[in-house]
Amino acid sequence: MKGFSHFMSGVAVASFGPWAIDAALNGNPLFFVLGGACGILPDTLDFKFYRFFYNHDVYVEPDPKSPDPQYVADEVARAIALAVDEKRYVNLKLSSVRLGADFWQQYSVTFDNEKLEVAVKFGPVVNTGQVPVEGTANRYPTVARAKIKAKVIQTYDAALKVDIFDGPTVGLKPLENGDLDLEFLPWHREWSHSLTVGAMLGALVGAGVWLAAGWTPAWQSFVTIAACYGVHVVEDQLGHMGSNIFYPLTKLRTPGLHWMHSGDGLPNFLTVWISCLLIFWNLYRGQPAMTYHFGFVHLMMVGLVLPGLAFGALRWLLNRGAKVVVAKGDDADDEWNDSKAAG
Amino acid sequence: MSAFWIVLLSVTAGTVISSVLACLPGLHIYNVMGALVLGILALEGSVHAIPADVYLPAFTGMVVGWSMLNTIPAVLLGTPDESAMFTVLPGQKYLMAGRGFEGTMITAVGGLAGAFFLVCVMAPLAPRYLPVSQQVLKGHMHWVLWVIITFMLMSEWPKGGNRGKAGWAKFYDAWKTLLAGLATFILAGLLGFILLTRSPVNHEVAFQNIMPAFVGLFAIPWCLLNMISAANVPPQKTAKSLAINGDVILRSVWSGGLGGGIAAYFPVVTGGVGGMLAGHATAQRDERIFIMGQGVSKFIYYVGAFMLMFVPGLNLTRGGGAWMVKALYTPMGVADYYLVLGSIAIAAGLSYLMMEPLTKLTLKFIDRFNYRHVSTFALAIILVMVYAVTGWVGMFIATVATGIGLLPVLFGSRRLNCLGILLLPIACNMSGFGETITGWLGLT
Amino acid sequence: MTVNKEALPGHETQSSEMNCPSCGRFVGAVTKCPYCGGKVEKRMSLVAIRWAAVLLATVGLFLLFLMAKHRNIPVVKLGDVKPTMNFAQIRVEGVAETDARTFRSGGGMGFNFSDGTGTIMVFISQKQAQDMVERNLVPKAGDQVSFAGGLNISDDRSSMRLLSVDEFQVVRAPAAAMRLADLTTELKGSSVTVEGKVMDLFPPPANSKRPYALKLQDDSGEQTVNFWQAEYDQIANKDVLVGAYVRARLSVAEYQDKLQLKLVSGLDLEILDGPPAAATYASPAQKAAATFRQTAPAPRDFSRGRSVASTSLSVSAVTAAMKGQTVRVRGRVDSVRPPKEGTKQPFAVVLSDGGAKLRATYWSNADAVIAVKPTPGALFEMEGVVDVYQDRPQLQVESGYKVKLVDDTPASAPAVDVSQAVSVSSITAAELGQTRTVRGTLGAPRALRGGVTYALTDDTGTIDLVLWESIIPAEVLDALGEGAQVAATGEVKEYEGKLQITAAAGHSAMVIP
Repeated sequence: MKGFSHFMSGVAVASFGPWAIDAALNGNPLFFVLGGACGILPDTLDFKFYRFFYNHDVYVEPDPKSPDPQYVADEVARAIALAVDEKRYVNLKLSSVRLGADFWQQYSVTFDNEKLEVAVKFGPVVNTGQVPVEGTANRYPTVARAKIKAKVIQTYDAALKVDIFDGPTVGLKPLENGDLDLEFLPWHREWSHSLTVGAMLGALVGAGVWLAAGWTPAWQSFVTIAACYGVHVVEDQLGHMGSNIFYPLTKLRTPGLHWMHSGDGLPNFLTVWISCLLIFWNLYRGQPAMTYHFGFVHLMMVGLVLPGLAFGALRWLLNRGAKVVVAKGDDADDEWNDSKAAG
Repeated sequence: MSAFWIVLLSVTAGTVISSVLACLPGLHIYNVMGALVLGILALEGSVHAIPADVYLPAFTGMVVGWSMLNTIPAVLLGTPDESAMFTVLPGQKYLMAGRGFEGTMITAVGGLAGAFFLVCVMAPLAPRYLPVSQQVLKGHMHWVLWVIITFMLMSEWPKGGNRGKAGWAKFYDAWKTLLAGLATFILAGLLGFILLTRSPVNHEVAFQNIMPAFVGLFAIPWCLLNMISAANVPPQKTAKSLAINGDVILRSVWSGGLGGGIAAYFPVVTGGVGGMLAGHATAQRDERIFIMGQGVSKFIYYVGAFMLMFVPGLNLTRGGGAWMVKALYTPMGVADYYLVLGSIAIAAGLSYLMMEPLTKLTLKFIDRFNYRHVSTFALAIILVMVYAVTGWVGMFIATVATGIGLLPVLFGSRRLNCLGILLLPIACNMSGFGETITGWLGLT
Repeated sequence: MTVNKEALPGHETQSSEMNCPSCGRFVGAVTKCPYCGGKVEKRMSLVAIRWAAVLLATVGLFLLFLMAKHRNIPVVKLGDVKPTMNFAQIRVEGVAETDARTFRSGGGMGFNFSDGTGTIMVFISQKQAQDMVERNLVPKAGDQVSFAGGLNISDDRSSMRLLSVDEFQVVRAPAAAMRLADLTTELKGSSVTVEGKVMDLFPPPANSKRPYALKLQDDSGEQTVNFWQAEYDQIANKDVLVGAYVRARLSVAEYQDKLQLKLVSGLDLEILDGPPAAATYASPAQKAAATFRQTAPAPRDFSRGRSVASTSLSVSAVTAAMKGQTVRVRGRVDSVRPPKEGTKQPFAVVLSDGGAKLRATYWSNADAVIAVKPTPGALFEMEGVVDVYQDRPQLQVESGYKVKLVDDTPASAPAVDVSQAVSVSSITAAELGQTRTVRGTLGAPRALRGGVTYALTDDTGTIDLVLWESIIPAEVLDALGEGAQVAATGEVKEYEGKLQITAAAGHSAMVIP
């Protein structure tokens, strides 16, 4: 799920603590800030810290001036050979190819387990919105191929498409039968997306708070941190990649429920919006001397159901007879929203 | 003359004037309104006093016209120099692809859609639901700001660290831009503390305390970078139609309406911040939706904030325009609300109609005149305006703010971080420890 | 493999500085090529602007900070404040018109400030308020204050927000020591010092917004002092408060047309070790007279208590033709004007009778001996010499002993119609909510929070008569006592299963001779 969805979920979870509301009414924003920060923290740890220290065995860095698909194919094959020969986990980094402030050379890597081949093709130039630039689709028509030493099993359905910003890391894990299991972004959710890590972080911070301010703020901080951190883990389990939920007690990522892609628009928006409504509800319940009164169902009807129905009806009216294609989200790093927010 | 004609003529005049002024780069409508407020106050009590039913529709028209048409200089009069800047904004992408006209018009469609949404959806619901949310959120605005600040700072993405071996060098390469962003935020926040606590601006024009800083943070860097830009504007083509449909418009209204609404309703949150939040919330990938959504967001932010002052039973002042009008007039009842809504509707239609001819005129203009010279001229106007209102002290403030405003553009971070000038001190004050910080700084 | 490719959109008009000069790859805004490590030179203007940005953002900001920090905030008169000064920080010097009061929500404080040219509401944040309470800087009505604040100006209402507690200066208004009986609503807005014994303390009911009521008594009478929880929390040794002798600085206010004494800060109440030493109290007249200077000794008054034979006249009977005659005049006091401080003016009392008015004057030495000072509405009799000023008669009273209270019941005050009185036993529960008049003998008073209850007994039975201080004039209450024969009018109510009469507002109870 997207960063903002996680963030708002964290704030919503924090709002369920009456102590957070009381503190807020007394001018203390910390619990809500903590909730939001912990909601987004697992991804922050991975994308803004851990990945820069994650070692790779093979770096594929195509030349922007003369992109060579054969070079890419050969390097991928070499990484596979390394994993097979040395029977160890090999990390392969596929770097992006930047051509301009807003232009990236897209390329794709496909494994053909029937022919034991890897195929690489350089596609169009795309902008930071991943929209192809007109007239660049056939700049590099050649498909390069290289033989691979083992089958590469992809349980995760993200396409190995490299375009904007940081390219993906692929982990090649030797299996018992000699095949290789392909893990997408192995450094992501390796340890950070763990309920136990959230609890440990909560305990650590709680201990500090206990020394500074006493028992009550300490356990309140612990609960807030652990819960808001944990909600991120739970939300990500709805997707495909899954997480290592009980690190360090468990070693591997538990696959997700495949209910959604992390970049899907509607689930993300609904998460954000429902979080906002829940926050509103909790604030209402904690507000002394309200002159307006409403129930939870009323709030949901006015805030979610009726506007949703109106929006759906309008959309149907406007799109009748037309074929509307909405770009689906994928699970790659979603820096696209960041580019929108830049400036 | 009947009230109907007075209002109609006033709103038309306000819209036309602001629509033309909006094409001038760097000039903000609040600066013009500020000068007009001074004039109205000077005439108060005299034979030439200007009545409320003249200036209210006129101001409404000005806000609407400007929010619709200021897209023109934003898109067409600034060429991103990729040797100097780290990011290209979506509107600029259209310009560099020779489709500046299209980008501008798509934004205008967004503005018009925003007007529909504001007048037909938000306006009828506002008197019923906004007082409820005001009561629920009472006492909570401070943490809302803190949460927004937290997300703003945590969501900024490192722009480097994509190449090379793992290690501290890669980490630093990535974090350079993030540190620049944090530095921008903190420096802007310090500037804000200074200006909101012990502003050196003469107290007689204190209502424009922040103006030199905002000009320095946003307008002057834009002009300066244009002036030294080594990039030229590619040839532009006008299009007979826009590649949009009802679905694109609807989703743009959804995304932009949310962003503009957040910015209009919450104090201190500006259009840029609201747009960022809404963009993250709605996760739209289509660039047309983003461009159009910007038009919706800008319209709802500026005009919606102004409108909030007139919502019966709400008594909410948001946005510079409303603050300025508040010095002149206190809205009384439903009649004022309808007056403003009617003015918004008329002004929106009028300004949209002016969009195409003014865009084409501007395209001809940039074809003929070097945009660098235009930016130089705009910079001169801005500096004259700052000096005229706030004197040398204001010029000094603008200069310092320019330094801060250049940091994000030149060192790869978000320009949004400049909004720390208001976000940080006001969030601290709302939470009750603003005075502690100003005490540490020795300002109080 | 590479193919010749066209420039990407917009790149045909970009500068070559976006590419590395060594390897030709796109590098953008960076100055070191990430591919070959080569240096990417940027044009001078860009380098200059980068440096300028860093210097302005750091050094420039620091200089601006110094400029702001050492700036003297200008003193501005409120009358000179214009709408363009919205958000300005200004310094003001003047007087707190009201006590600073704590807001129920938000915990901050506010008070009205005036500098003679205008009045403005001043807001103090919660933290500042706490700081001011600790440092005893909370302004009270009449205090001279000087502070810096931020202006907030709108069309209908303007206000200021206190900038800093450290820059808040307060000079306390003198609080004269006074007797409880001398405190009247004419002192509204001022502060006084009183001493006495705490007879009782009534806390407010739970979850109520009502204040505490402290019954304070000295040798002249009893008064109720109000304060709220915040002030109560500040009182030291509050557990021994009831029954203790205290000295307190109180703020005189008016609430629902009645005198209200407020303890603005718990720090202003001091528990004494024992009964206070006899002090000389200055009446309001004496306070004013204290600044009055006489160049010649006041004439001695030899007529103490003995009147010259004179005719007792109504106000309208006094004419200019009587100039030089000594007359005794009876009339209702219309107004009382003490002399302005520092002046040699006499006291001026206007007596009226029907439509006629007569101005009576006397000097401070005469005022000093007047036992019951004239108050508006009271019926007074004065003896003095008729003088003529601008063809109109005046009365010059030479002796304070010749100024006597006849009746302090205001002429317009409703008297109790004793003929309407019913027997106590005839009052039943069926008459709840109705107004009845009763007469009888009062039993011992029982103090209430905000009032007093007497058991009123007639030949047929006994019923409680409840009199609330907030609606019954003090002179009515003072006139009642155990054993007095009274008549009273009020509403029939029920409390804890027993019927009672709650006296109506105003002069609804009177002693029957």
